[in-house]
Amino acid sequence: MYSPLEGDNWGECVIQQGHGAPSHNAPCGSTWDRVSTHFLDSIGVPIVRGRNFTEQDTAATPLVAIVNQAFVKRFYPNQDPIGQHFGIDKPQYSGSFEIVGVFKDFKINNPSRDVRPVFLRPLSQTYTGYKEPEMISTETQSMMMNAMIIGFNSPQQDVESLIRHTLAGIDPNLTVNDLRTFQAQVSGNFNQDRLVARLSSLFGVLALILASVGLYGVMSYFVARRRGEIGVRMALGATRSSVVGMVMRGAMWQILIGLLLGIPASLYAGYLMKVLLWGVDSYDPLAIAGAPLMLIICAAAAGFIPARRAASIEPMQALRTE
Amino acid sequence: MIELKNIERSYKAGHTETWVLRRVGLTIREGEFVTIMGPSGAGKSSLLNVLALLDDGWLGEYWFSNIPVHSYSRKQRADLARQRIGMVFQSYHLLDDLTVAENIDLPLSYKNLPSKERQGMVADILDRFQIVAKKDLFPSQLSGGQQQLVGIARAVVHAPDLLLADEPTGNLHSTQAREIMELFRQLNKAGTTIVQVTHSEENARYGRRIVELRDGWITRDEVLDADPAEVGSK
Repeated sequence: MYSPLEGDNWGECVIQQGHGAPSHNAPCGSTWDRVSTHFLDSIGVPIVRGRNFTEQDTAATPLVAIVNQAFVKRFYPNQDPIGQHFGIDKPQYSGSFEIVGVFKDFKINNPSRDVRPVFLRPLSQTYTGYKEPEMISTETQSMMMNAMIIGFNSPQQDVESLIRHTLAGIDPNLTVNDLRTFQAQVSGNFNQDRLVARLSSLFGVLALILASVGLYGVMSYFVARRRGEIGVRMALGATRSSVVGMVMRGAMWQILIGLLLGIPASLYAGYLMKVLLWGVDSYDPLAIAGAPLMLIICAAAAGFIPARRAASIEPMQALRTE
Repeated sequence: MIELKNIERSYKAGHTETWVLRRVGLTIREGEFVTIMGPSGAGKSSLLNVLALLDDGWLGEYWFSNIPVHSYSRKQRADLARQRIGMVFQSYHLLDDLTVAENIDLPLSYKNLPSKERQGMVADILDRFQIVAKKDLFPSQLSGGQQQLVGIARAVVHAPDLLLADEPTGNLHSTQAREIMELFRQLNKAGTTIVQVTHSEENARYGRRIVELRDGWITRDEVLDADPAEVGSK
């Protein structure tokens, strides 16, 4: 029906064989899809228990299903799911499908949410036991293949033309609405997150530049105001390195205050934006250590330039000015 | 102690070069009290800055206790100045956010001395100059004379061989000026070589020798007959 992360999916209430109708608030929902034999192979999801669909799963054989680990965790937490039966929506259909395999969890619909229970049924099998018209209609509509994932053994030239031509050869009335790589489809789910990340990075760089420029300005003003004092110190024996050290100590104090205020604030901000993060923890050690380190380096550079200028002050001229 | 040979100093401004010291030759013996005088722009302060090793732009030879300062690097000169030269400024140049004791300690802080030794030296100077009661005051809480007293204390706390004073009483009234010059006399009597720049004839009489500069040239170098001990009575 729908390919993973296409942006749509079907869901039903699952009822295990021998169980009655679930209560109103019982978490019985599961995403489901109807797929071909090699679907999981094509998207790189392994079977972790039991078996995958095979060519032997036909309309004449018992109806089977494969489920994900989240499905097992919700509906068969302390049981071996292989060989268990379940159905959808009504207790009388609770023995419709036999679980023959368990596949590894993957995000089939919304990448920002936890993995939902998922069961897959083969395209080659149809349940004919429904009595209700809406359920019959749903079963019929589920046979309509909305998406196709095609994998090649080797790189192909002009894939789009090849696919359109091949499908037209099967049925000229087949209309290809959209053609894209699976990577592009998956990647498209993160466009907004990517934009937010890029904007955040941009703002982060701007903030770093502003902080550095601000610190440079403050330290330059500090040096200018204390020009006379620096001249006196140098006349009394201060070396150029001690003058640089004096100015840098002033800069480091400001950096330290900034870090004392900024690190807790960033940790709290990380906690607040936890849901927007992918593949990285909100308390990622590399980020928490790297950001202050980068700030220290940039701030130190911003402070060092006026410090060097201070050290190059001629005491004689500074004293004369004062 | 000090020997200057053909010291020359000029400043360039565009295409113009202004000479402030011209072939200055000067010998100052240990324990002397020398006064440098002359009209404004004669080069007095420039000469003092050369002696203080605050200026690197001069040409010629400068021997300090047989040390060829002219062949020293900037760092070596700074080290020498830090160890053996003290400077008193007309405007005192005390640091306003440091106390009296901290101001006096300032030159010692650049000499890598142990803290206890520094504290002892500062305490000695405070006692010697009778300003112990003022050690925790800030310069803004002192009179002009007291500030200059602190300035002198700061200049001598590390027992320099050479004390240089640029118009040390220029901002003081006459009573304070006499007190300061009397202090210089005592320091000189104790063995400190002193070179002062002044416009005041009265201050000049505290010294034993007057060197006069005009337009960068030494025009007079005269040893005074009067004993500095008699100056105070004049």
